[in-house]
Amino acid sequence: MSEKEKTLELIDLKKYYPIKKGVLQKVVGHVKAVDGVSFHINKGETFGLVGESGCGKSTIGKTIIRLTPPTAGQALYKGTDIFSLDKKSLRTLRPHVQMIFQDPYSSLNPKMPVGEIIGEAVREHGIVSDKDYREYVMNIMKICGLRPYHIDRYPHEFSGGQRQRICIARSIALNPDLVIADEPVSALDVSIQAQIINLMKDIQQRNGISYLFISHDLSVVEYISDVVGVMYLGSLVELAPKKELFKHPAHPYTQALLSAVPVPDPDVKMNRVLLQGDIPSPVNPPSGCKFHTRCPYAKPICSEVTPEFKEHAPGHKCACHLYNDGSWV
Amino acid sequence: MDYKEDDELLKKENAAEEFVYDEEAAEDYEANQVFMTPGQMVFRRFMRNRLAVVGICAIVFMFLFCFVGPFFSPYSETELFYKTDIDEHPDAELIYYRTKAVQRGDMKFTVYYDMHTGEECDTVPTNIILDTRAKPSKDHILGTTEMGQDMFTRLMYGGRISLMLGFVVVFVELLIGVTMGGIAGYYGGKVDMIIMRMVEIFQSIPFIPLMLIISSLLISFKVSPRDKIYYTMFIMGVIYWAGVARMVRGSVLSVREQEYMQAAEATGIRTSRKIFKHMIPNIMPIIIVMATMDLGGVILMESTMSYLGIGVGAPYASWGNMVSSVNNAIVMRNCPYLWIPPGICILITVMAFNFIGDGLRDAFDPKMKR
Amino acid sequence: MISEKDRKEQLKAIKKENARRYREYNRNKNKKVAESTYLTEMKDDSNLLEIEDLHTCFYTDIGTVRAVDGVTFNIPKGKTVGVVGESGCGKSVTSLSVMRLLQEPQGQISFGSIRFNSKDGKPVDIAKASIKAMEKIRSREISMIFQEPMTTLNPVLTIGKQIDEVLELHTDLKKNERYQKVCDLISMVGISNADRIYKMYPHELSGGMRQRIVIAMSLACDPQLIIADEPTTALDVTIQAQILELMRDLKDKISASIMLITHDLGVVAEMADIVVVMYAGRIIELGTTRDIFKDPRHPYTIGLMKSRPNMIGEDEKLYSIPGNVPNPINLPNHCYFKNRCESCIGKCNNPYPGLVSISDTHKVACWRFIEEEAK
Repeated sequence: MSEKEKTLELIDLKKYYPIKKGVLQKVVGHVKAVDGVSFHINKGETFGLVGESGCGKSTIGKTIIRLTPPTAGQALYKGTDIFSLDKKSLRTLRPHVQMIFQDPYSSLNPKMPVGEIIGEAVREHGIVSDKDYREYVMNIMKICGLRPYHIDRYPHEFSGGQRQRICIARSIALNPDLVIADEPVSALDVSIQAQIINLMKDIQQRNGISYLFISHDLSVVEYISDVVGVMYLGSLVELAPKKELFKHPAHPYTQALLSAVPVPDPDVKMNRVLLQGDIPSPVNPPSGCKFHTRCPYAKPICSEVTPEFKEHAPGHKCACHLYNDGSWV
Repeated sequence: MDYKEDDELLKKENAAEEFVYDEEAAEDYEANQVFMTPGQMVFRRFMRNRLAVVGICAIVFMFLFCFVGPFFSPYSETELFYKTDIDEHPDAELIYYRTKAVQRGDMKFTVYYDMHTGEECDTVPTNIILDTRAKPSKDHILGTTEMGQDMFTRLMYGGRISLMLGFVVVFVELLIGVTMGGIAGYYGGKVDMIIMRMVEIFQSIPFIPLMLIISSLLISFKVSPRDKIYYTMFIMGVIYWAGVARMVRGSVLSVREQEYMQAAEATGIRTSRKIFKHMIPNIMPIIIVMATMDLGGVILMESTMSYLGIGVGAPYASWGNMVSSVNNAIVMRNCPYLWIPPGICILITVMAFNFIGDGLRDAFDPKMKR
Repeated sequence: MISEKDRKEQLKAIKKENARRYREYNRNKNKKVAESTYLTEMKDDSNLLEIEDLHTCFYTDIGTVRAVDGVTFNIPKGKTVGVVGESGCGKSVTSLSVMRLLQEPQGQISFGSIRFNSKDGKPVDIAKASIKAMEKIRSREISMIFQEPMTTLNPVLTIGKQIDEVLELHTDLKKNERYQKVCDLISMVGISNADRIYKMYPHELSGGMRQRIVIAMSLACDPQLIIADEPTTALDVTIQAQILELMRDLKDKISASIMLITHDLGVVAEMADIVVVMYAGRIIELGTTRDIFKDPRHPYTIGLMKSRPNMIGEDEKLYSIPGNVPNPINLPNHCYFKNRCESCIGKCNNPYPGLVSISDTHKVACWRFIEEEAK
């Protein structure tokens, strides 16, 4: 595993948002949106990041491309730390790390024709000569399943799926090595979702791109990812190769997430692991294991000691006290 | 039925090959759909608003009246008219003109000088006097002013000044306001803090007293009435920028949070491009609406100032100083033709601009409807 | 591409037509509707709601959108009917038509009837009912749960006050009776400590809790029909599971029928008794949950089921229906799914197929089965 080339390696990434109060804007506490997350993405592979809203998964994406500054930690892109780059070298790095946003409606400038949206940055970074520019954009549009006459139309004429194709075209036009896809299909219809996922997979096979695929939908992540990380309240609770994770979900939270997905089969009455209560606020996360307030197997130790995030099987890491006594199967 | 044959034919044709999604058919279908460009959509929504269309018509009419009308008028703006029967000596002359009697050859003449600037206006034989506040007649459709000029002609020239002043002031305030607001909103932090405090200072300046002071300064420096108009335009623009800046800053802040701005950031394009290609086009609707609304406001402010005698002064006409001719109850009662026409002009123009502004706002933002 | 001139002409014709419709609407708006015009008979008394040949149109600048185009289905008493379809298929418009909450005059019910078996035993045709009659029916007999729990609740009123308001408007209960009822409702939706919640504001609650409150509110007047429009879409998976569990519990406790509108096949499979699948404004398949999920017939339904990534974890390509949902304006007069359909046959060029019965409960609109019928 370690022989593979790592496109991105995150080391102990932290992102705290200060809470300010009073006239003097005194910092009274922190929202620990991301609290010490480490993982790496291999070249040409997809890392799926799953979690519920507010668990910090989108923050990770935005922090990696420096749309928000990190509090601590490192993000090594092919060995260089993205967080320590100055403005100029950051700009030269930009085309290599791209992002696809969740909402295809607000992520396209309504006042710009499609060709311009896709090609703008291509021209900026001088990826192709001016002569080949239009042809290049047309070609990218073709790859992404858009028609040539779309090039002069405006975003409002497109459906959600087509818009997301435009977003994908915009990001791959820069020949990136890593694409951070922040819930790219959750705003789309089921049949369109499948199209977009297939498109993303095709492009991956073609260009050898790595994806960081952020989603709340386990079934989508399961389909596209090679490695999956499950997040809860700012930290990873489980990380494993896809097949391993879905066959042997270890952490109670992962189990609950898996069983909560409704199955389109009236005969399957699943034994739901129904979680009680809501996700606690990240301002005051519970002590010990953050999940113990909702965990069906919670033991006294869970509320006192933070479980270690350790490797139980090759490539399968989990942070839970249940397996400390060697009960791993 | 017939289609059974069809069916079999098709089945034969398709038997060997797999299903292929007919992209071309779908494409043709899509390409033939009726669609509208964003501009067309705004235009359509705007035209549906009746009041706004009425407003546009009124403004077009006013422009024609003020800028084309004077070419068809037989009189000029400052031309004086006289009458020959000299029963009484009008007071107006004493207020607006300094007179001096001169002897040229064997005739006696009266020279009229402007009270404020001291310029020579006209020299006429002493046995005729100014025809002031004449009732509407064939020669003078709306009568004459209290200075003895043709009312109708002056109404057209006055409109020129009022409208031009409106546009220039709005241009100046937009120039400063959009730049400052844009900088404050885009960069944030300390720059934002400083600019916003400046805005607050400018917004707490009492406008009319300030103009009174400036006006008296200008007079004491003997600035000509023409230059005074330019100064007024500039000063109004400089004082009004604060409101624009505050508004622009707000919309820049909201646009900056949009995902397409983050996407632009992520693709690593230049800051100038981000501002001019992504930011400005998206705050343009707000700026246009604000500018239209402000046009009405500025014209109203100009008339207030001219009424108080600190805006546009004689010999130039503006709708404001024309209304100011009604300075006592007798004029108001006996000479409605002096103040009603300019008053109506101001009313129509200001209302029209407001209607257009409302219409544009609804047209740009369909969610605001109802 | 069509020429610029043609396009302008078309737009002009559309504008004229729309103006005519708006005028007509405004003329009829203030007319009094006699009770006799909207009283009807139910076809089958065991049905709570019968929608028959409903057409709802939106008159837009670029043409008439037939958002709902001849929809016919029944909601039996005490059953849950799931309406599934992708965005823009007309499922939400159907529910808004039932509530008569369309944005008029742009959106209007142009044809058809919605018969509602009201509490007092007088069936009402909602499509023709007067505004006053509708006000009585809304929330007293039909209530609605919306997708976004935050925008449904008023942020400046306490939770208790908001539920209390509904009761105050529609019932004659006294103040302390109402308080008791509100507390009962809150605990009914699985929230303990009702007294404390009563005094809280919406922003103090989490998304799941808010949706519970919205459900409590919709139950306040013991409605006969609850329309739930994507009730769990905005929620997280674990919270969605809780809400679904709650709704299933409540379904047994109260006698109301539920019309569940969603795009999620999984949710429908778990909740509904009868499933209606819609595509581009029409029903393409209708049947019991078992019919639809075990034996889907329409190519679109089959495609939808296949394109859902399921957790089996094969590495082949995910199945996807090619193409896009057709533009809802100027739809051609043949099966709307024809261009995307894999099992298209020659007959598909004929006019739009009607619903044909496959079994007593299962109906499908596809030419392939019309042929079978004939044989």
